[in-house]
Amino acid sequence: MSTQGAAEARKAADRFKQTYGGIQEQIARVMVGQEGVVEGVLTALFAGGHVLLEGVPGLGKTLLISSLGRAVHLPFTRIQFTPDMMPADIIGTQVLVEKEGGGHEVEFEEGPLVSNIILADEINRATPKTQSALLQAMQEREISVGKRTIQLEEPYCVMATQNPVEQEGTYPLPEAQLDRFLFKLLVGYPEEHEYRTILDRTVGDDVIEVEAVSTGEAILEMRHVVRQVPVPEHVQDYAIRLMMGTQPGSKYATAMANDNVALGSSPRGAQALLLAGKVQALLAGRYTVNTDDIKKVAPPALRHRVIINFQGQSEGVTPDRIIEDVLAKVQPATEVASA
Amino acid sequence: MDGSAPDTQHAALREALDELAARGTRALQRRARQEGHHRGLATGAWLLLVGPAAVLFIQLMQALVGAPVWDPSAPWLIVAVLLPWALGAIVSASRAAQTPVPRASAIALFDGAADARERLVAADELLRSGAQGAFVDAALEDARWFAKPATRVDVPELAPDLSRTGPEHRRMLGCAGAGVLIALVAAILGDAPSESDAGDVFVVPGTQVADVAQPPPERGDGTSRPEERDAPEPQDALPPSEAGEATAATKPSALPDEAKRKEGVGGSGRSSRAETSRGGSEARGAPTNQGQESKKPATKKPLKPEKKKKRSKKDFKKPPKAKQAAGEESGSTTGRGSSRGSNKNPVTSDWTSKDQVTTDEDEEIEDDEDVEDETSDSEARGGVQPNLRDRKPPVSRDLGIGFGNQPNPNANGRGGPSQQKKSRGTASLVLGVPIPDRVKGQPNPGKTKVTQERVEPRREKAGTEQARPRTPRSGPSTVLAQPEMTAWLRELVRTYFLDLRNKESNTR
Repeated sequence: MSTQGAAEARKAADRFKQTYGGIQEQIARVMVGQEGVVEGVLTALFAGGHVLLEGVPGLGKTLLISSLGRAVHLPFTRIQFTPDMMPADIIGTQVLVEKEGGGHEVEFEEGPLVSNIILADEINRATPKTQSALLQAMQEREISVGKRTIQLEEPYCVMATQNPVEQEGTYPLPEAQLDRFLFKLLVGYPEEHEYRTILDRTVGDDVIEVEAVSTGEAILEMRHVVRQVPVPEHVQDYAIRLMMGTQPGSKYATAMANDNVALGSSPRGAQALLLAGKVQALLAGRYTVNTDDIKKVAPPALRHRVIINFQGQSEGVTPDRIIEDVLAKVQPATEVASA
Repeated sequence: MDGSAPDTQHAALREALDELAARGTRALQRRARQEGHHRGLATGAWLLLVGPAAVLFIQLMQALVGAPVWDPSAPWLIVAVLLPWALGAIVSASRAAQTPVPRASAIALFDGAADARERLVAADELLRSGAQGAFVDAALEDARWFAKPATRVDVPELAPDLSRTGPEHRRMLGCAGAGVLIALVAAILGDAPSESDAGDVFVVPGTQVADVAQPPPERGDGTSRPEERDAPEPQDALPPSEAGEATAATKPSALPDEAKRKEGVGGSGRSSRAETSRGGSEARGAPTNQGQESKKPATKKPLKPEKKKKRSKKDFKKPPKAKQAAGEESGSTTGRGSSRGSNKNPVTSDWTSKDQVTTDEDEEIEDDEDVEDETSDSEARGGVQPNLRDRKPPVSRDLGIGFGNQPNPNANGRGGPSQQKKSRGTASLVLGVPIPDRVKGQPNPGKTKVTQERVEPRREKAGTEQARPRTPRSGPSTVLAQPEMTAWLRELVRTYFLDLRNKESNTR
């Protein structure tokens, strides 16, 4: 009985790796480089979280997400956020339609938020009112319009982008919204050798099509597999310590965090660490999470949950530096032996 | 497959993990013992001082008592230095070895050695927690593959973590040096009594002081020490005991009788320096004129002092340097301390002012006053110096109004104009205060006269501007970009806002 369970787990883990690899391969056909960003996006997709991508224009953020939507064969919508956008523009609104038999009735017209994969392009250009319309959709997977609540279909994944340079005329995302993103990924410039491939693919006449290699059901199954991966006690303790290390005034907070952090990670940070750690364990061929998995996913899972205070901003301290410091100072319980 | 197979496999895994945990625990305890040993040596460095201090104490006691208590040899000294330190290190090491080692840490030792990536630790935790599930079974099976090779892996050598004992090592070296020094001192002291014993003379530390305190026999032949040469003559001419008696007989002293007796008896044991300072303390009690006192007979004091001799202005202004120096060197406060019966502060200054007595008439008046004072307290007056509270010249009493509304800076509370004085006569007609010209308009208004007259507007011819070719613009044609802030300006702004924030947070 027990060996049967182990065999099933092995098969599920293999399927996971196949599905993951297939999607990654399709994205790699159009997306050159950015392996870390692609891995982060897929990790968030399989962990059941949302992703915030930050990078300058022209680095392929939109291309990545649209390619992902096609690869998993899921409905994909793109919302270009602007300052004059209202919540009804993304949620949907009631419109007056003419009945066939005559007369009129009010009918709900769904907005672009009712989909599976949402690309919220330049999300920080919308007003906080519109941004907050995303909160319910991201956390509860439902939207309320009037007295009506619409359940959003799973898998549901919001992938937002924002430009770090053009800060004029933008509205920084509130902490409550930032906390709902599993990962914040920084999209950097490609390497020198990748530019040639990018140019060959984009200025030529060839059109590269992304094939659908997975489905929404497969994604949901993989999410279930991910959640079955056990987390040992010492790994859970380590994730908690890391999360507390970013909270100023806590037991594990470093001096740098105490001086420069206004707001540390919430418990959602620890949830993100463990969920993403499970994906990493499966990708590494293990059936339990270890501390290396947690260390690997700590920067994207915690950087948007650490709010730097005024002193830190004036001294140029970034959330990534805080997380590096916490990772260096906070050690897992088993680290004593290997020291 | 039956259900017992996994159980036996789990049992085998558990045994293997137990074995790994035991080996790992031993290795970690060994390392903890080493660390404790190092830490004990470093933190217990002060114990290096205990042995030498004890030996030194014994030697000192031996020197005081006179009877040999213990004569330490070199090996004994070494043992005394090192024994407490070594004992402290052993105790620290044994304590560290008894510290419980977490089982996860012990197994993680082999996790790293077998490159199992925490599979063994995770399997041990899953087994002990009793978790069930497909992935738990898979994890346990996975761990079994790594447990077998891990049992064959030798325990990795663990170097003790000495990073925390770095500064304590420096302290240990310092304590060791101090301990050696104390031991050397103790050894030298241990040799010293044998020399004194050879001459059958026991040297008491106080004896040397007494010898030094005795007045030098060569006082009569003029080779006394400088401070003794400067001392007052009558006391210098007498032996200290006699001088003390003479002083007690001639002067009313503020000291109690007990103290006087002690001074008189113990005067021989005091140094000449102490003697002169005693004179100074008496002078503080009853300030006297040093010049007069130096000429007084030492044996007898008249009931009523003769009238003070009139001195010339020169004498008054410039006291003899030798005597002044004697007063300073002997510690006498004559002319410095406050004299009894007078509320004025005599000062040793040759400064003259308008208040200072300069004429014979004034001296007469002063003498009269002195006579009156002397009847009440003849010995307390040292009033040979001008008694001034300060050295400011007296306030001018002229009728000038030159200070306007401002207080007179020369006013010292003795009267005179402190504010604007009312003047009379011609002086009141003289404008003493410059008044600023507050007439508005052009300067020199006397020669310029402004008049208004009605004039009808007239048409005038205006020159026309000729069109010229437009030159290219030199400046920026669009909105100026935000200039880059220089580093110092950015730092200034940053500091300003940081201070502002701090103030705001403090006020809250």
